[in-house]
Amino acid sequence: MIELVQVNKSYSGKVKAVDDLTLTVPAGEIVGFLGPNGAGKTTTLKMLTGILNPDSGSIRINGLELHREPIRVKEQIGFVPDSPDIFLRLKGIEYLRFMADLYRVGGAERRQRIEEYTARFEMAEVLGNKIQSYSHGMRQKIVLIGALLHDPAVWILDEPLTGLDPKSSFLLKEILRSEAGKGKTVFFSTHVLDVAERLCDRVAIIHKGRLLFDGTIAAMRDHFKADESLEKMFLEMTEDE
Amino acid sequence: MNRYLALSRILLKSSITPPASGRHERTKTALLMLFVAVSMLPLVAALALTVSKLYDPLAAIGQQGVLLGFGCAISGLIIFIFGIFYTINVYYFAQDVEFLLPLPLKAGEILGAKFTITLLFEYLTQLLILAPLLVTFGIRSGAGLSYYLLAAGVYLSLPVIPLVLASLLAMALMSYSSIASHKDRFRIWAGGLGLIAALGVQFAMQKVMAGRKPEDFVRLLQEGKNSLADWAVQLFPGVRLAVKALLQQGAAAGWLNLVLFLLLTGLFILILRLAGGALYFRGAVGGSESYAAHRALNAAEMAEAGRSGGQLGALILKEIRLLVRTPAFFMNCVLVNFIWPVMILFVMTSGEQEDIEGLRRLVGSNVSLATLLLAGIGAALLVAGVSGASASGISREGSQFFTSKYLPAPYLTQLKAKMTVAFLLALAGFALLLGVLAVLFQLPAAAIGLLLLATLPAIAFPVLAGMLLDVHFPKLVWDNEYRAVKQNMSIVLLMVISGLAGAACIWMALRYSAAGWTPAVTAVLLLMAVDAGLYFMLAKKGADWLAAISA
Repeated sequence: MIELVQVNKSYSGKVKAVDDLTLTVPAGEIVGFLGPNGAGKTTTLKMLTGILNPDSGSIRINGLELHREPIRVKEQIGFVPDSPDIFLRLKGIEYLRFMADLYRVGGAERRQRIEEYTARFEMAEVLGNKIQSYSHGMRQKIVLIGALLHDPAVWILDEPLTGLDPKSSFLLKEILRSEAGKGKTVFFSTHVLDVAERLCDRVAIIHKGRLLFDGTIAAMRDHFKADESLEKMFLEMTEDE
Repeated sequence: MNRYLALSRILLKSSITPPASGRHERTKTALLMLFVAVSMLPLVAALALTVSKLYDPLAAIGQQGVLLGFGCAISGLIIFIFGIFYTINVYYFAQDVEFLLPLPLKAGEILGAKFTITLLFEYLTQLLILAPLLVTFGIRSGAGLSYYLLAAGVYLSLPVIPLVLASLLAMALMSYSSIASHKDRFRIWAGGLGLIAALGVQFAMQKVMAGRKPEDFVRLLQEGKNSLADWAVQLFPGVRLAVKALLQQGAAAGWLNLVLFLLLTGLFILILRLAGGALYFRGAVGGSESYAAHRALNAAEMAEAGRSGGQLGALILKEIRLLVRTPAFFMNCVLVNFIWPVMILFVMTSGEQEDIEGLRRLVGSNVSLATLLLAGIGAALLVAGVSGASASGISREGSQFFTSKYLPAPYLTQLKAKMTVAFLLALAGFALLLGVLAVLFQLPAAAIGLLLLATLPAIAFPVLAGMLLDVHFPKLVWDNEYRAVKQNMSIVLLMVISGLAGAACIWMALRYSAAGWTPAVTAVLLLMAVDAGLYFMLAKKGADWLAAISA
């Protein structure tokens, strides 16, 4: 479970990126995090993963306070950043070993998961190559596999579908559904409203750092009292602000 | 605005690290820059003093011009040699190339803007060598306003020709070979070749000097009228006119020579423009392609991949792999540790046999082990201080620094991994140096063992101090890996601090050679105490400092 309570973050003390955000993502649910560019989505995800410190407020992952027990919290998270351009000069397999070592994944498990995920995402053929030589989609896939190796209890993904081919995109959505079904927490940001509409149990909409809506798509439709598409509701909501 | 000017402005802005966000951070950065500038003053002062001391004896025989000749030639040579690698990196391998190529810009406009920015940085390099020379020469010769105006003209135009030549060579290399598809491999080879070329130039110059008959120098000296300066400028083409302009400052001939020099410089720029128009895109387009045939793992490799290791080991391995595979990091953090033995071998093999024998006898008989130990500590400080491995440990992460924040490894473990790698590299480099010296001077194994042991705190000092500096002043914003290590204040500052400490040890070794073991033991104990203090600070506060860096 992810809990954000009255979290604030501003840049240079002037620009308020996240404004008094309170949000809960329960275990076993897939929650989509929506908002226009610059709304505060990435800032929120960065605070959840320890990349940024909030100015105030509290962040708890599965009951653990992030600022008190950062390492234990990070060990529970599988994070996919918005840019997959990391450790480009490592070979695919070297990156996966590195991630497995840092997340303390045992020998038998790591081998089994590397084989399973690289086969499913069709990456086994390029594991001996440097990540530098991968396409954007392949880089996205290797980062994704690295984040899955330790079988995280909480998944945090920043625009995870960007750059993925249709097959990999479908596969990822399948995995997300299956993991949520097993009681894992899945929280991801996306611009693709169709994906949010079809995949998410709930959506949270943020605009100018403030949470505008948190609930199911059905609740949102009730809110607008109309059978509109998520896109139309989203546009109306963020235009009003 | 003209597109060339607009592009130059943007490139200049992105070349200079944007100011840190908070006021506190900005003040810290400004103070660091000031400190680095001040720490350069002794070097500038030493050069000015040398020029000043040499002026009178040379002026007495009418050969004072040799100072300008050598100064300008050496300055040009440095710009040319380093310019080859610098221009390749800036013209072809900078991250902005991919953004510039789709824009409606002519090759000449991109090349012109990049050349301009490179030239501006060369003016900074010249500040250390050429500026003190020109100013001291002007003061000592009692020159008037016209000299300083001519000197300003020379200062601004002198680096152009060497840089054009370096650019032409870079463009030829990139256009007429397939190396651009193997960027990393090429840059690592180019770096190694550059090092060999630099040593080769030094070697060749020594041979030329040694090969020149003493009668030649006597003849040149007797001729007076700065005939030696004429000889010096032959070391690098195009400098003769600039030197003549400065030497004939009182007469119209001085201005005429400057005008001729400027015309020659203009001609070179024109050649660059023409060559750039024809060649630049050939090398730049496709520069980001990375060749790789698909390679799956075999069963043994997959079994190996299944072996688990600790966090520290994984971080060390990652650090080593990135250092070795990233050309700019390889050159400045790895290779630099191992240049000393090569340099010693070059010097020893190119020197006069009698001098070397004399040096051997001196080290073998007259120098006590205690003195050798103190000198060794000084050398270790100098050698380890030049490596940028520790002082760029955080900076090298650049835009992917955020990974350090979300990975579940304690910050202190991350710092330890970086320091361990830097220490091992410096230790390996110094051990190799000792090995070479042991063979050359036939030092006993026990002395070498003791030297290695006693110099461990000296090797650890730059590693710890470098990490402490970089964790406070990380240069995380760069568009080219080269900038992370070449334009990194922490590395410069560490070189100055370690250099001064090393020089002090060597000076003490020479000055107090009869004082027995006390100076050497004191130095070891002092360094151990400083190292312990630095480690304590890093262990206590390092994690907080790292956590405070914005990703």
